[in-house]
Amino acid sequence: MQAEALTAALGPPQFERIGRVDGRYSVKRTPQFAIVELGPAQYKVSPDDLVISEKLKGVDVNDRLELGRVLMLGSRSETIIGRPHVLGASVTAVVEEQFQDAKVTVFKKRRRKNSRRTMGHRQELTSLRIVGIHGFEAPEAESPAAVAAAA
Amino acid sequence: MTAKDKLFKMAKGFRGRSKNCYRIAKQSVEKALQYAYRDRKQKKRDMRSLWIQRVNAGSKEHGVPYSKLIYGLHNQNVQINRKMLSELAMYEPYSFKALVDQVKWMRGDAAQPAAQQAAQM
Repeated sequence: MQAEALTAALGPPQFERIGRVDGRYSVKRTPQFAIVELGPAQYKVSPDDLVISEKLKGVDVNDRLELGRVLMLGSRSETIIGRPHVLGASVTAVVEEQFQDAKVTVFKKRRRKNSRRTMGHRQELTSLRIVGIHGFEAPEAESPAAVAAAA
Repeated sequence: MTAKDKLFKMAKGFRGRSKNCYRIAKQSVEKALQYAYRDRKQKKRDMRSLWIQRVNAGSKEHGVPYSKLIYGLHNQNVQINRKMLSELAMYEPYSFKALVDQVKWMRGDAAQPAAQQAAQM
């Protein structure tokens, strides 16, 4: 179907709700990192990192998210480069806070024309705690056709 | 807090009468806000320029100039952006070297090590 081909061409989804977290959780730091794409930006994340990103829609505090667009994985022993995304890799995160940034005053003035405009702006942000990175034990047997199709 | 108080709060740290006297402070604060508006846009440009300088330095250490690196990565559809490349060059030198080696291999400059072949997806 054309719709399926279009959604496949878009790539993996940026984030997906996969459940909730209740109460406290603690995350162990491991010497691994992933470069993940979220919103218009990319972030280099390790477990137990705090990522502050643009507001994510349809998401609540204490939700567990799966970030699907992983551009690179790295650890002590190996580096996996995605073209553009690493197949089968994902990063799990928990939504910690949805808040507003500090206020910036937007001020515009036209000189000698008696015109001034003042506006305040607070950007909406979401902060995520990175809980896990998956995709290092990817299946080695990638057929050339599959790699070429994903590239 | 009155409007005047808010103005003087924004004038903290200014030089001379610009922090004390209303008429002068008002002009200085307006100018400061205009610069802030302009510089919020410039900051994005400046940061990108900084990232490019850092990536250039990092990849030249491995013998590949920035232009060739970006061209090579673009050809392979690697969509890591410049901010991340600069982070890699600074904090993950081995992973950055892996990217540079990949570009070198695709250009035919160097043989690809076996371990890299296994990890390539």
